[in-house]
Amino acid sequence: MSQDTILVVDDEKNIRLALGQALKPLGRPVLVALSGEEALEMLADPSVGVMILDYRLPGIDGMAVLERASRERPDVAVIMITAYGSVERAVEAMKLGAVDFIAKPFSPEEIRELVNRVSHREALTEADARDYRGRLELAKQAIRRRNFAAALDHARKAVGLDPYRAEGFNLMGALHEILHDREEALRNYRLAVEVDPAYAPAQTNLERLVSHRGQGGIAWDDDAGNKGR
Amino acid sequence: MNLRPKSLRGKILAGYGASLLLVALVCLWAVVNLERLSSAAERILKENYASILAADSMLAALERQDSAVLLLALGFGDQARRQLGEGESQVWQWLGRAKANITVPGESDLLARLETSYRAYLEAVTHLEQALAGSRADLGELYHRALLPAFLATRDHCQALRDLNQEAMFASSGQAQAVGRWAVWSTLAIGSGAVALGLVFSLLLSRRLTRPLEEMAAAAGRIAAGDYAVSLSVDSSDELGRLAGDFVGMAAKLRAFHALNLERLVAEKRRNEAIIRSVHDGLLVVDKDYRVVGLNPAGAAALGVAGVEVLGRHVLEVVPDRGLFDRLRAAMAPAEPNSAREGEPRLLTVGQGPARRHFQVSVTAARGEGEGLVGAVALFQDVTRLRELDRLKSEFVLTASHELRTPLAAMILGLGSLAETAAAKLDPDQRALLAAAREEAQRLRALVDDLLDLSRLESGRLSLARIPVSLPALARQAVEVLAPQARDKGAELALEMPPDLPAALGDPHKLTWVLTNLIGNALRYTPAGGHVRVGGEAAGGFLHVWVADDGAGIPPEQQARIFEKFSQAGNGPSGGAGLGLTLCRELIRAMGGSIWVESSPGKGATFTFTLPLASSPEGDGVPA
Repeated sequence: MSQDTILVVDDEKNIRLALGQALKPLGRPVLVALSGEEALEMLADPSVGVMILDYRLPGIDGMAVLERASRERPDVAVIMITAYGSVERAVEAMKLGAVDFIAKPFSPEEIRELVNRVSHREALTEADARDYRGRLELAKQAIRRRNFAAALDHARKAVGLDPYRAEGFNLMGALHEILHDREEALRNYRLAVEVDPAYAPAQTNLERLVSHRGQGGIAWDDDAGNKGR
Repeated sequence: MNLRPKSLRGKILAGYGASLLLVALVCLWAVVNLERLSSAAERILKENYASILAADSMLAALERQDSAVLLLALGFGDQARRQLGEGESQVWQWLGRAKANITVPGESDLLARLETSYRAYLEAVTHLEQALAGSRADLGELYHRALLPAFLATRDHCQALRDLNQEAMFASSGQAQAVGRWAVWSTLAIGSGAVALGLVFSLLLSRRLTRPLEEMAAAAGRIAAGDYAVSLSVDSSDELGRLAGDFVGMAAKLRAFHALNLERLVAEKRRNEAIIRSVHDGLLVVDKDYRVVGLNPAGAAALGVAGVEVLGRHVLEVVPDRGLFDRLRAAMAPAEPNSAREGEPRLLTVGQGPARRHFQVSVTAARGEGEGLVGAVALFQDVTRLRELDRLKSEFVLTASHELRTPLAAMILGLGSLAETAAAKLDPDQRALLAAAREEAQRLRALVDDLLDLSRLESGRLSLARIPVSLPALARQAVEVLAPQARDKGAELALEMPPDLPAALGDPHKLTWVLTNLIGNALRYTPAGGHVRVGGEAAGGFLHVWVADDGAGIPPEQQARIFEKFSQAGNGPSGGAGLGLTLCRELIRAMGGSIWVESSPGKGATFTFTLPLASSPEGDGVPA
């Protein structure tokens, strides 16, 4: 059966309302939950395919919800809403299969675009994703499925296609970090900074890794695509 | 008796006078000797030659008389008698002269004998005349017996007289020769003596003249070197003596003046020290070799050192923080174009944990009049409390901007959805209102982002990279991003940065943001048809990057606070800078650079920021 339903989890009434309205043009059913507990109940619905989850929630917080969701519904793709660009505890989030982040505030187009991309990614196969972008999407798909080795492989292929873009190296760095290879992670973050000094996430990651010895969040490019704002 | 000349002129004259006197003496001596020589010659002529002439004349007269005797015998009586008379008068005449000129010992005796023998001869002649008047038979016998011996005796006496005088003449001549030789040698000796004496005089005189001058020259040298305690042992009373006296007096006055100045300086120093001690802020004074020459109690407390211990030590030994040293060095460096950096206070943090304190450090180079740099003064103002307040404020702003995001997200989502779904049902006025609301929501979003960045930066939470960055590449990206905006506006956006600029140290992402912000700002204040140029150059260890427009410019009174929060050029279009320039300044400062604006109304504005070059010594501490 198809997993069309989008579950929106946010304690803010107006965000839920606006988000629901913004997703309407997608023509997909939208469920809303105003707490972690409610969200976990709703995840029982097998039609839920995408969950848009706010980090900050009263009661069970976003990370706890993510943890439970990754155990109970590993097939659901999770988009994390953050209050700011750099994601707290992103390594943990990625370990739990959450690979998409969006920073508040965002526009209706941005969230719709991201939801589309996430849904599209689920159906992606190697055959129709041979370019750089596609390889990275495949890597993210693998992360979502907690297959980090495969993700690393896809990221490597992406980098092989275009070694002058930072995003691939940054992703590889993050994957190495998840796989507890700090040296490799550092090397890849550095490569990312070298090929594109203006690529902020890699730089933030590099600094965090150098200064905090691997603790803290992984900076992630906002999937909303609002680079160069 | 004092014969020493009183004046320098007198000394010189005396010196020369002595030499001249010697020359005169030598001349006099030569004249005396010449005189003696000439008198000797004259004496020979006068004394001996006259006697010789007399002897010869008498001999001639005698011969004539002898031949007259023969004439008498032959019968020429008259002629013989006349000849005899002439001869006799001649002999008496010359004998008289010889008698008047007796010069040689024995000459008188000889003349007496000559006279006696001549009288005997005359008697014999008379005798012969008488006999001639009688018989002529015994005439020959009479001649041989009486006349001839008398004649011969007289002639011998005459010859003896001549010989005597000749000998005397030879003796005189020899004597004159000896006199001449002696004159030569004595003149030579006296002349040499005079030359030697003159030389000695000259030496003494020159020594006497130059010694005081040399002493004074040495003393002047000592005074020039700062040793005013000079004394001169010049005791003469001439002009040089007076000069030396005046010189010593002048040195004494100089010493007194110096002492007075020293006293005043010491008083000044004490006063300054008292002022420095009483200042509540810390003061650190270094000389131009970075050695600590002054530290007031507040400064010692601030740096956690004992004030007296650190004096004379290098500032890095006292404060191991390189930041302070770098600031001192920057302040003392020859003025660079970006001298604005010097005046900007920076923070120095001392201590750990709860004792941790923050000081705002202002460094001023101390330059003497004309002699250039003498050191630098660092002022430490304890801003720990202010910083704590500032931190709380930043914390508040941080939280606030976080909290603002949720309602803002709802607004943007809601307005966006409304625009998509309801716009068609609205009339144009309502659509304009909706567009305005969306625009303002976006502005609010940008503002919240900036505010968040700013507060994170101010609270030290935003860590910036300090890695080598190619500014031309970043500028190209920024120009590309903003090119559509420039096109829409009808303004020209030109990148004039040389692509081979050296790398600078900074955070590439934030630098892109700064460039985008500055260029965006310039575009906003540039009318259609205007120009915005982006350029850069490396100078003095820094990379200078500028963004210039030819818009309305910024009035001078606003230039000073254009980098303050929420300030904007009053005559520009609304929707202004807000926090952009403030954030630019904070970012650039955090990267070790500075930013400023140059503008005159009507001629556009040029924003310039600097970054330390990657190859400059300030570029230590690259994160790796």
